[in-house]
Amino acid sequence: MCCLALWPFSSEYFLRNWGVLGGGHFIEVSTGINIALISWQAFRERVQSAERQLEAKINSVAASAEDIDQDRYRGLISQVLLPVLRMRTWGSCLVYALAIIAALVGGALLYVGQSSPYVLWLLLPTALQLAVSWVTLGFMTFWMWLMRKGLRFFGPTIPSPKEATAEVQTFLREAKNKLNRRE
Amino acid sequence: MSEIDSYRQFVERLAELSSSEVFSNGQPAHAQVIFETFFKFAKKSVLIFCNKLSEKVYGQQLLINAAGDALNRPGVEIKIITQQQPEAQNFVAALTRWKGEGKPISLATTFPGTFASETQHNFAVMDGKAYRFEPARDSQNRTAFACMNDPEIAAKLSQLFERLEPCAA
Repeated sequence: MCCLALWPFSSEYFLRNWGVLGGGHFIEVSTGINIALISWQAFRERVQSAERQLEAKINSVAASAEDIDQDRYRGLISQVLLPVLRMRTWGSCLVYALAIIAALVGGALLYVGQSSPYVLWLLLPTALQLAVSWVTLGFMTFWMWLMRKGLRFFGPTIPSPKEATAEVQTFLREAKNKLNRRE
Repeated sequence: MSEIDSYRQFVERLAELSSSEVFSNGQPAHAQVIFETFFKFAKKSVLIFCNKLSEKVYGQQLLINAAGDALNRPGVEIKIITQQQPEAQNFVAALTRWKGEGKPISLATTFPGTFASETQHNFAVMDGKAYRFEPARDSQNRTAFACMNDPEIAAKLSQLFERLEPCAA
């Protein structure tokens, strides 16, 4: 993201210094488009992967609520988390689009000889993107933690992944010892 | 949508996502769902080490159909070890019929006095990747749990299953 935002500035600088600016416009524009597309694809994959992970978490908590009111739990999770997740996705998309526009505008401003005060403002979308990303992720993580804690408080004792692994490992060790002794 | 259908949907989605989240799977109806899911998604094997092939779990037609479908897929084998004589007679009848048809299936009961017959824990493994683990039957406030993607634990449980096989016939 940051690389993309800075790309027009840096490429402009290098092209200007190499004295190839006149002939370099086409290369610059096409490279820019390519970088934007690749970054967009990477961004989409990251968002999709985050959504899949969150969906898995929601499903695991909902599936674990087997001895208590499952519908209420599912409601609590999905009604709160899904809008936040959507906000995160669309908010990030919007800010990302703004960042691309800002990068292009930044490049253009530098090209026509405008100086830095404007350029600093153009980094705002990147800062916004980070804020949206981290704040929503923090909230979702907190909510999942709360749901899991609630489930452990009201429902049966469901082991955390760490506890589950430890429990199986203990059994495996015990089994191995007993089997070795009998052999 | 009924509660059990929702549960099935959750578990199948976890399998599709290859999620490494751990979730509880204590109730018999939910155990049935996880075994159905194992049979539905298995590409290589389903290994089950259980107490007595309980009627409540294994006697259900949906599960029997899922096991039949799994065996119809090339390369999928089912191995079952029980600690006591199997209870779900219709499932056993189906297993016997499939075995007669040459399908890769084995059903064995542990010899008395062995570790396999005495342990209080049960487990199942799918493709060396997903597992269901049942803590000791006498433990308080403990429920069975499962995970759709933990190759490390699943591989160790598969190895243990192999070691338990000679303790049963």
